[in-house]
Amino acid sequence: MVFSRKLPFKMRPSVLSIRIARMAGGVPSGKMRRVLVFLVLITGVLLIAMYAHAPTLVSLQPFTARSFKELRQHLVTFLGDNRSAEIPGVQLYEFLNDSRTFQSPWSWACVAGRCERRAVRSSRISLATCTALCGGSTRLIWPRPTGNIILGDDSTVFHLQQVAMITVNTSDQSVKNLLEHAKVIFLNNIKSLIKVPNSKGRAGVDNFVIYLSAPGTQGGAKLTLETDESYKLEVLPKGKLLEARITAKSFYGVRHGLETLSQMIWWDETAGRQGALRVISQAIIEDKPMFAYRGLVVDTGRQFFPIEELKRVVDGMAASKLNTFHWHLTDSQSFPFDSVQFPEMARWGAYSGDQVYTSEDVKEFVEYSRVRGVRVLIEIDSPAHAGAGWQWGAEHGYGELALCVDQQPWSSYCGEPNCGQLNPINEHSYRILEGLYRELLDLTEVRDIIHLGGDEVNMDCWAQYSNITAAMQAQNISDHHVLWAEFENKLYRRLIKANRDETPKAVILWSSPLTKRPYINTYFDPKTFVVQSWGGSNWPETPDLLEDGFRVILSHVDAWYLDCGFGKWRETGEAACGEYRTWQTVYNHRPWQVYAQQQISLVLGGEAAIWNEQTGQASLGPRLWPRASAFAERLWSDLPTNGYSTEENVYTRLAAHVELLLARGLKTEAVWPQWCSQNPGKCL
Amino acid sequence: MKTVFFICILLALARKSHQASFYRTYECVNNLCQRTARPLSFSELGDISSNNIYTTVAACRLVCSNTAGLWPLPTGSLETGTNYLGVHPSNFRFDMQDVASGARPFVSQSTNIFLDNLRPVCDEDCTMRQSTVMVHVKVNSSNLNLDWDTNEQYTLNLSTKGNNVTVIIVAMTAYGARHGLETLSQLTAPIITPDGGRGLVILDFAVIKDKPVFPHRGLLIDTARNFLPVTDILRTIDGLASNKMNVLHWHATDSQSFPLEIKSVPLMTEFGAYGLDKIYSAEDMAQIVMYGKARGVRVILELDSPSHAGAGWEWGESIGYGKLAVCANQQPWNQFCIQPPCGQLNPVNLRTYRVLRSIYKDVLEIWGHESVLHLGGDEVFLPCWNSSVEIISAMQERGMNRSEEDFLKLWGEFHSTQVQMLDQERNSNSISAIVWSSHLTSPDIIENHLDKKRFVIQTWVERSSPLPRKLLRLGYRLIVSTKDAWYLDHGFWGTTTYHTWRDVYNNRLSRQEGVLGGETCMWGEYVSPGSLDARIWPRTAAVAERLWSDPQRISTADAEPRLEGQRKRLKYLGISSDALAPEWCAQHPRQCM
Repeated sequence: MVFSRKLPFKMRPSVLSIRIARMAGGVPSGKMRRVLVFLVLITGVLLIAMYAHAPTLVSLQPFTARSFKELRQHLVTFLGDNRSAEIPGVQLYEFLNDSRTFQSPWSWACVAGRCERRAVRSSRISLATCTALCGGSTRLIWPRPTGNIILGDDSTVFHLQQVAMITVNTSDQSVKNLLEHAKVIFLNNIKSLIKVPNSKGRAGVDNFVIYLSAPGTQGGAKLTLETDESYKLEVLPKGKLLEARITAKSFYGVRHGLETLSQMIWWDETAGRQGALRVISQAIIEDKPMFAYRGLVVDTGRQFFPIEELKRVVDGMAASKLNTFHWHLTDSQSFPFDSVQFPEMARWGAYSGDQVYTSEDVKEFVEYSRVRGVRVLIEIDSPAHAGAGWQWGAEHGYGELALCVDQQPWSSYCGEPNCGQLNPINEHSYRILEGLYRELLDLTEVRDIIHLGGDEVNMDCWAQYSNITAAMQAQNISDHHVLWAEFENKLYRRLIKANRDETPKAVILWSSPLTKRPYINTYFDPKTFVVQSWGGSNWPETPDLLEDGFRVILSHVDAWYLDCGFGKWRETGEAACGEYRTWQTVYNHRPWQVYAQQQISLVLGGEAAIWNEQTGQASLGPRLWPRASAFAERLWSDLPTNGYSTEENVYTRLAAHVELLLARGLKTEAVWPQWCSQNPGKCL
Repeated sequence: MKTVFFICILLALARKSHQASFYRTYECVNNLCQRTARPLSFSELGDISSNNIYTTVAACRLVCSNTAGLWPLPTGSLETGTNYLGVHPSNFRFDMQDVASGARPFVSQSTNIFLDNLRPVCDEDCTMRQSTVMVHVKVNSSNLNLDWDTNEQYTLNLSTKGNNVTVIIVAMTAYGARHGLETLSQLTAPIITPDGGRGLVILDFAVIKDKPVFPHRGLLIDTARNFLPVTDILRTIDGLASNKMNVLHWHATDSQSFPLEIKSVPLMTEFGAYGLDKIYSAEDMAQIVMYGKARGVRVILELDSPSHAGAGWEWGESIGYGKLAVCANQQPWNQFCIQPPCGQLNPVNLRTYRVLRSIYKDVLEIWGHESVLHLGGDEVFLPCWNSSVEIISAMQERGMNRSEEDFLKLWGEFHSTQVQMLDQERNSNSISAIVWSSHLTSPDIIENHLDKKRFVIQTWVERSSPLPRKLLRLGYRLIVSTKDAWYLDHGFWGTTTYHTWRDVYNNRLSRQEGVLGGETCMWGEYVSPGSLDARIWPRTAAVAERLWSDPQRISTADAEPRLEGQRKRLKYLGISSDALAPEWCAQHPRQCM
């Protein structure tokens, strides 16, 4: 209740007198009474002295002590819940003692499901507390749970030290191990909310026990397309004990439950004297995602990002229950992976010796992601989008591994500078790709899904080479698409070997002319191949693929490409993909609404994309957040949309989610002036 | 055996300090620094015989073109050498005997800033020490005023004898000398030494004569829509100084928030700040002003009024002061303002002026009584005033109607009153105020409302608008913020489009007398501390060259490699600017056309 920027613990005389009165047990007597009377007198004298020194009301210094006091009395009084007021009335004299002490007049009250800001003179309710308790079942949690939601209106203050986390009914040792990590992450997330360490606010409970259970979870430590990510979360007060139970069928479900629980906890700056942690004390939530595959593709080929920056991306993904970090590791511009087997790749392909990812980096990143519920799916794009790093073949007697590397004029041989496309008739190119994938798959241990890249092949590049034409003629091929299709199938067979002979359940290709009819049906098996569809959302490619029985992952450029909107980065040509996609555009995109009901099961999910031609190192965070969070709710909850307008509760929850991301140290973009967050519903 | 073991350990440690397993090199081809295809191994690093092969693109650029990679380009003569020498930041010496005594503390501070900025490039681990650099600074004037009349020109002469580098910087004012030091810092570059460590080099010869084309070269930041921590503002000033920009226009308050501590009216802050952790204390403000001044950057405060004001003004009625602002937070907002929340000062309440005067008194105390204030003055929404019974009846009492003309009169009088109050506080009637272009500055009526001797107009219209030309013809002085080129917030809302650095660079201002210069505008609705740097930079660097050098025949393709170099310099200041293109393009100039 007392806000002092410099002297938070300064004891005021009136505070002291109340304290002394309390110590003496209500009515003071004897010596204590004399002390008290003396203190009250001194306080009075001090106040009068200050009044006397204050300038008069009509001067240009309009706020004398007297007018300040008047002000406090005249201000609208909000007669709300009084529980957070421990020492009423004391703050009236703050201003007299220390001009550096500011006191906010603003408090929030829940009116018709919306927090309204108003000026009060005491018993402030913080925005965080109001937001957490106001708005029925549509409040607080991002992405919104899809099952039953019962969120109570009661909350309780607790301290971090009171939290105990216990794993029960879980037999699978690897799940247990992962849960230990999840516990640490949860506690760190809660810790990040704390604004005043060791604040002394009185807790409403003695203990806050969180039980985690994942019974009967054979293989529950591995994230696959079949993994059951559902969970049930119950929070129940039992006298002085607060209990939370999270039950799920996999580690991932429990983790998501913990994420949800962490969003039911906030820092209440008006609790006690310095603020305190608060948690909703009664809740039942049943939740599971609408789509199994919820990803983000991040490009480290155009720009290099230190592994720590990539970890921040995973932090943001975990906060909104995204589960796939699709790592577009390399491109024609650079090859930052420092392969143990083929060190020449990074030597020739990385931007510099400092801009590489070692296998230790990758391993550490994979572990970091796994314990946050995120799989790392590696893509080494080929046969196009490959040039940097592949230049050393001839020197080592392997022939040209890649063709058209850095060829000019680039616009004749590739989609953007610099050019490069693998040599489809050089076995060494396949052999090296296999080796690179083997190394990376051993690091990620994601064996059920593999991404081949496979987009934007430029036929004119290959057509320049007479030995390629000759090889095609020898096989009676005249169409370069067929050559391309053979490249993919050949690579696929090698990747099964690279995958320790395990046949993946899903082999992903970017959409391209090759994933259109007739090629897709002629050369690719819908049981194995999945197409990541990135064309415009009204293009026929996705419906056609569904009709032909292919599973798809949606990355429609007009809604989910988060790199668009920064104009052209070259001297000539047009900007790559039009305007900036606002979070509302990202959020309101529900392409499956027009797909046939029986085909929707073929939609594995979606991926938002950040291509990094124009992304500076520090821009990665703000480009992604909170737009990728908006995307995450679309895929997890898939709430109905009302045309192109977004519901007010989505704005309110997203604003709260941004605060959470900021507390966890992420860099986010501003979605609006902060005034709009402080005045829910008033900026729509 | 033991010795061998120790040597092994030492080797391992030594190896570890050179983390890279390979190195890139650059060569000068047709005045451009191109990355060489072949990587170098550690053992090959020592074999570079400086045969046109460089370990960093910055060092290459220093000698590869006749501009030495300078940003912004000098406007006078420019000759640069073709060799460089190794140097260590601790080997710089400064001679300030010829600096006018009043300017000496300032210049002394400038030399410290110069060295501080070199340290991230190369410090303790900096292994080159071969030469010493003696910098003689000459400054004629003791005047430390930083305004539109400040002489910012300088000359820099750099010559070498053996391992001794002599630099002579001559300027009229301390600010010119500061710019000279800024240029000197750009004549140094990091390199990788033959043992894989970091080194610093300095060019061996330069003759530079330089002065800016426009006296007002600014960036607007907005701390009212979203709060920006002090450190972010200071870092932004570092970036401005590095580009020889000289104004930080601080749009501090708006209808959304009032984050400034006003000691005489603390309620402004209590009601107006987003939170107690989102307040600029008087000390913070003083620090920002001082920090800027020491770097040649004038911080111009804007307290927007009479429109764009509401937050912080809500308490009037509760202490019997009446309504200080009208329409504050009124809904539906689109009937009372152009952006929520609404709020416009009450021009018929004398107490409004009284509070304003208290605020002005306080901020002039911090900024100095000579300093120019920006009064805002844009986007007054007449229907708001027209909806206030209090305002209408006060107008009627004065025999005014509710015509547009009457409301404009009210608005014009508001600004005149502000200027009078400022004059009284300053005891001077010679200092101008800045206002935004608006309805009130329409060429046909502006002379009825705003005195051209007292008001500088900041135009924020499209390139195609005739307004700046017309106002110039009337004799007004202008600051130009071309909306469809220099508004850095565009592209994230409504139908606006993002202006690339090329759009920014290609926007040229009239050099007619009366054009003081221009500003890029970083409005804060959709920018957070996390995205601030990338939104401002490198685009504001592009505008810096337009305003300082205003080159006539340099295309964006010509400028791009130097701008890439400037991005790296900003990085050493802790500013992560947005990428112009894939890094491959920065390493291969003119190959991504």
